[in-house]
Amino acid sequence: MPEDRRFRQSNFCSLGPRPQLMTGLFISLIRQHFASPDNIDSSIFRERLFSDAPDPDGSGQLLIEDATVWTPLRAQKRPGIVVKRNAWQHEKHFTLDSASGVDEFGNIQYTKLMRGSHTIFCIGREGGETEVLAAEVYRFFMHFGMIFRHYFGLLMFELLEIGAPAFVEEAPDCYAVPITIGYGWSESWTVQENIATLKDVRLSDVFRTYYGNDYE
Amino acid sequence: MGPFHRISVDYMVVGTTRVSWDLVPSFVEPMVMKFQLQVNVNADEPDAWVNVGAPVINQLYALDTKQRQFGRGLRITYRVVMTLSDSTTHISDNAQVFGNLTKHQWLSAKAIVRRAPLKAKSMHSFEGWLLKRRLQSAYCGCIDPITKGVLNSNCAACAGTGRLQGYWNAAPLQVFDISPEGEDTRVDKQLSRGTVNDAAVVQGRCVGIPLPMRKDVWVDAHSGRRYYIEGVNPENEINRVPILVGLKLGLAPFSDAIYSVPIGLDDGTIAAQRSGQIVSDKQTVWRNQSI
Repeated sequence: MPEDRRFRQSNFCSLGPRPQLMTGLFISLIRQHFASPDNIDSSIFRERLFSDAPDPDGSGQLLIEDATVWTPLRAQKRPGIVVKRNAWQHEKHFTLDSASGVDEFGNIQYTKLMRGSHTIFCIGREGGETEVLAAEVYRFFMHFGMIFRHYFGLLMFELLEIGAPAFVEEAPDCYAVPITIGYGWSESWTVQENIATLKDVRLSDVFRTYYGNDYE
Repeated sequence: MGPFHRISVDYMVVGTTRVSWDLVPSFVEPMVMKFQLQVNVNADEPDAWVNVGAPVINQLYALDTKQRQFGRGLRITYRVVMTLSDSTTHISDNAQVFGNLTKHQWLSAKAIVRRAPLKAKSMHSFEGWLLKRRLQSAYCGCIDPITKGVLNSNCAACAGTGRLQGYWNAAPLQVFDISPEGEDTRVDKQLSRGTVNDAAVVQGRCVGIPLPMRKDVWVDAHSGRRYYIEGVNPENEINRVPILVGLKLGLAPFSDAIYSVPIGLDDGTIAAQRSGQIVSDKQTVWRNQSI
């Protein structure tokens, strides 16, 4: 009978979550959500983004971008969704140096539990519009968070907070609702030493070091 | 020139407001004159005038005993419609309620208003139009039926105002002493807004009667750029009546629905305005505004 390890491979890059990768993940997920009218709950946004009416000035489009990317041709286009990474922390549950075992060659294995979050800022010209946009985004992550957790091999992926609407003082004035999504994962690695591991140590060799051959 | 010379308002927020008027001496009318006082709770919104009480006959004042403002915005405006026995009607200028000027103050204010557009011949003035935001037309279908919050800031029917048609037809408005407009497109320092250009805000000045309001829009006739009025600060007041005001103008993003709002003027007028050919009409721009 063949061995069944039930190993589920992550659909992430083999190097695991990294800041740029996670930001890209959020942006692609949100873009995919808004790419089809079948995904969108709000009829207002569905009609706005997928109207048959010509949209020569692109005013019906939705801006979805990384908070750190300079996009002067779309500066302050609203409504918009801006994705920003927050701090990542190490969850300490193991030994001081995170050592978790030794492989068959004697190399030490390490594991760290990590957690982090991204904040998605939903920005709109009007308060009501911003709330609808935020609801569209947070419901998407609330409903599909567990699917994403399995699919990307994470330990946690869930909606943490839907912030209060805030006034954004820009011209013209806007409103923003921050939505925070938290995630966690374990990162494991093995440090392979260059020197071959000693198989045994003879006491005679140790004595010879201190006393020379005279001890005999 | 109409038969009305000046309209004065002794305004009381709570109590009886007295609106009085006098006629130009050259207006000789032997017939019966009927005056109907009208009020507008949002400045000079064109179709929002309502009659106050019954008409008065051959009388140069009328009273308004009703409280009409309940917030902190002094937007109320009065005017008088005169009807002669042959059914001819004359409508007075709009009368502000900021303060009642003495004759000397009134003449000084008129002189300032007259001179201010003349200064527009300097290099720092710009022809343009004011798009007055509608506050009293029917609600647009894009609003939330309960909260009345606007759900689509790019709605073609209301231009994101929540009111059908969104803005009134453009009225010429010359803004002078406009400060240089900056260009500082950068990533937001708080990393919460993406790429922004917060420097696209300019300061300018204009005649303050009628008073441009926040969220109205000024259109630069020369470049087509549209600016939301972000702030209005009186710079010159006489007895609390704002004569000249400073404007804070925020450039609307070029994808904003405000760019789809028509100016509402024919191409010839727009071209003439843009080229400055109707400079001599500048005084008529404010002719209808009573101080």
